[in-house]
Amino acid sequence: MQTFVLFSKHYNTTNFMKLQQYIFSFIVLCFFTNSLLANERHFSYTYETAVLPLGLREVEVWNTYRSGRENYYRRFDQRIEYEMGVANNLQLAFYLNYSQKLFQEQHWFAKDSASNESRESLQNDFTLSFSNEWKYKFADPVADPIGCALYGEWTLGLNEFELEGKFLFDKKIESLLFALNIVGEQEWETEWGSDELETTSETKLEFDAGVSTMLSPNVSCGIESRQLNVISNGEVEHSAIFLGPVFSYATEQWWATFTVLPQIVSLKKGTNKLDLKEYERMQARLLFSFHL
Amino acid sequence: MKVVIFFLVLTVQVTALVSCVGTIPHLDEKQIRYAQTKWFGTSLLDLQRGRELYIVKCSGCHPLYEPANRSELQWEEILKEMKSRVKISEDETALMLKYLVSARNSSLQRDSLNTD
Repeated sequence: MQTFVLFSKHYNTTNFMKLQQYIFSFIVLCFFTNSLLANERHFSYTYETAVLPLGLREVEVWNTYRSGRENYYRRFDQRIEYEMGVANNLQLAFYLNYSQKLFQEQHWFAKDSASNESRESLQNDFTLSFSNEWKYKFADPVADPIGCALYGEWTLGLNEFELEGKFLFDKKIESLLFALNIVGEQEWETEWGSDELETTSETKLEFDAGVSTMLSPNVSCGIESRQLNVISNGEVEHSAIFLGPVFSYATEQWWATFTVLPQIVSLKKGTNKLDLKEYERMQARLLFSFHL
Repeated sequence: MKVVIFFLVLTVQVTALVSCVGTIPHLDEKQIRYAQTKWFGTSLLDLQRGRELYIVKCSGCHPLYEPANRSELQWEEILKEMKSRVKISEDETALMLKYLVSARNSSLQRDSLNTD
């Protein structure tokens, strides 16, 4: 059995530069509008219930880095989000999603009638998609006993369609902020199967939670966790917990929040301590937003 | 076992959240007298509208502050500054100020009664 390492690109440089130009134009267009105001976030993965007031707009830039699945795996996701308050307690947002991943893949070839040989290559995969989000706030984390909001999002890509719903809860007590999200997601993806196109679906259930303390009006730090599950035919196929620190900084002009989430444990019986088939060893996310 | 511990932590967290009450008070007829002496003609409806506006307009960008945590002068300054940054009309600003100052006064009175 022989092993070769190849490097392949599924896109050309000209297309990549065009894409960068589109993204840059989108950011500029969003930033040069009136009434941009940042709505602070204190967690990178867990949503809070806050929605922008009617007529206000905001831009957020998401950067997520993931690393360490089985074999070689690196992934970088970027989302540019444009949010607006469309009614009291109702917020609408559009996302442009860009994702690139580098992973090891094994191909088998018939060497002769008696044996096969494999080649391992580094595949560079790139996807672009569009998302639309709606968020309605029912109760406030300070004014009411508990903050509560409903969140819905759909995503459309060239070979995927996703529907996502979230129940958002949060509560601020003195300088402590608690947040909890219950997330359900259904995903359909079209891929080339053995000899024809196949559409596969996947159901995900997720619990995100975080607690953060305000060290000053500008700075907060805390802990964030995610419990992720993939469900197939009514059974949990993959399940893991991520847990890590979160830091956030906010000024009147801009805010940023950063989380590092290592995978702590796989909850699926019969697997190793970590589930590196479905999930990464480590994720990190940086969000930043500002107004002019 | 791990799953049980995880959901136990979640349950404790949710219980802690639900057991706490809101800190942006509703004002009633008893507390309206202060507002009426300060701003003639102020009604309970004005104060309720002021509270509603404060929650909707301010909580979208940052966590709300308790009315008692700022002085009357500070609230005036804050609202003056925010009015130019967020889309809040003159009338809405006036209603919010009436509510915040009245709620502040109500909290201070309650605290002083508790101390006595």
